[in-house]
Amino acid sequence: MIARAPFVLAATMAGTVAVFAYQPPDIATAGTELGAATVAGQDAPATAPVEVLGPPVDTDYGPVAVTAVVDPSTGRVVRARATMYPTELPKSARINRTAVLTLEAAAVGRSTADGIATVSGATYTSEGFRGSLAAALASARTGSTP
Amino acid sequence: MSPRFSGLAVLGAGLVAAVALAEPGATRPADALARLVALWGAVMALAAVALAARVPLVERRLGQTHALAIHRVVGPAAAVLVTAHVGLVLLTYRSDGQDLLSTGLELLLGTQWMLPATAGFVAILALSASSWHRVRARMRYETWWAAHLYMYLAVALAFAHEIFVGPALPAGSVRRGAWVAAHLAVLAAVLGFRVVAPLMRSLRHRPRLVDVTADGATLVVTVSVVDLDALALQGGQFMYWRILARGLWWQAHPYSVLDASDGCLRLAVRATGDYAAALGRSAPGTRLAFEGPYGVMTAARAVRPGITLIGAGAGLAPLLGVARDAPGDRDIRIIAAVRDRDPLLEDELARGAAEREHRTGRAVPRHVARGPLSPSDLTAAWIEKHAPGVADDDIYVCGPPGFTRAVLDALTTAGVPPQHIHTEVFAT
Repeated sequence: MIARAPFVLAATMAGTVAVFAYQPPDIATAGTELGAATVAGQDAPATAPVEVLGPPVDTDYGPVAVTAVVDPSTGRVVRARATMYPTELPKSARINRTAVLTLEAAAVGRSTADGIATVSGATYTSEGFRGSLAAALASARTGSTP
Repeated sequence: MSPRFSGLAVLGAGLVAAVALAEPGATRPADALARLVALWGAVMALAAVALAARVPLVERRLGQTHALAIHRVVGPAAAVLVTAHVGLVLLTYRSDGQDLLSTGLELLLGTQWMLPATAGFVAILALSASSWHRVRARMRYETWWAAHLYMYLAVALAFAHEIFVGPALPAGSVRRGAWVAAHLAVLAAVLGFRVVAPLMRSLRHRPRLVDVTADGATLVVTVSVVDLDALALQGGQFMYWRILARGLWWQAHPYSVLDASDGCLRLAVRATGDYAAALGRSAPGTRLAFEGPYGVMTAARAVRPGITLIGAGAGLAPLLGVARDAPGDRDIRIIAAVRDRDPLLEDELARGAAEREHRTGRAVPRHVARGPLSPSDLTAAWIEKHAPGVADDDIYVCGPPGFTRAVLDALTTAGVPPQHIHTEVFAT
């Protein structure tokens, strides 16, 4: 037992340092890749797309607002942009800058906001994004722009 | 107050603390639940560590036996709550059509501080498994003890994700301040009362082995101690002892004190196990270190005119200390169960009784049951036969866990009020 102790101790320390030193991969690469889909989605509509502004939706970290370009004939999102999201804390800023790219890309082609997957690490921003986009899509359907 | 009741009380207090720590007005109920369960589990884990920190106030007021009994309710509860938190997070964070495994991997590798937190969770699971009585029974004590050290690591590993992931404890909030302060307080208690204080006391009292007498089931170990009176040792207490020799210094074992006089302590040590054998082999003059004294099974607890001492094996040693310290106007009787041949302990028993008889002029009736006793022998009727009117006495019980449990059950059946039953189970 005591003879094994130095090895167990060394392995424990190495493991502890390793798990703390781990840095998750940046989501930015995934975001830019998917960003290309925004352009591809523009070729379908015959009628002129309309731009609708989603209201700011409060989250625990701050408000999120989305502006969406919607094809009125299909009701689907042509392009989405988060115009407001929390950047107050450095950590929020780092997470959200990449997360909104993913969310914007995920919104394209959808007629509802419900199916947009939560970006891990940015649960609240994802929720705010969905809330604001849902309101924007609702106003596009009724034809009123807030 | 029974330990189980105290355990539930601590669980309840933990829930109140978790609700106070939880953020007000969380967006999604499922998120809020996952985090509340997490906070509750984390508070319980911290409480389990604090209960084992040997805080003097807890040791004096509650006693180690009681504190560890609560620890054994609170610790498993923490493991269950943390497991529930992990399950809830996986279910909550899963997006449409995603399986739990990929959700888990995404959370684990895509979010900072989640890898340490998960390592901490794995440590808690491993520790829980090692503490489950069926596994523990097959495990060496040392392995189990070493596994327990990982609980400190688990709490530290999980700490970063509690603070930095999610909005549960935002920067600058009173809640985050309280949470950090609670961790610092427990850390200070563990270092202070489990490391620094025992070190200081051992340096001051410089215990050294004088001699070991072995014959039968009990070893009698004599230890010289500088400034013995300053220990403020009471009869019935015990101390944790370590042998300061290569390969032995890192473990500590609880031995009860037979008596203390002329700068020497005499300890009763059950002659089984590696450590007792090592003690027997150690040369006179070997340096020792100790923690304690601990224990609330002292004569000061007795308020009734009669005292009945019921003990088995090495558990009789602290009872002799109670008999020595009890005021002279109390009638004391002893029921002793001696399973294996144990001449040294029987000598001590006879000597302790004779001393008291000489000092107080009151007889100390003894019944010594030799040979194996099963729990079914230890009935209320058996106790009543050897100690008539036992329900009117203060009763002290000390022995192996199975013996103690059976006697406590019998006493409850006999109608002894719980506040007059005094017992100590050594955490060996």
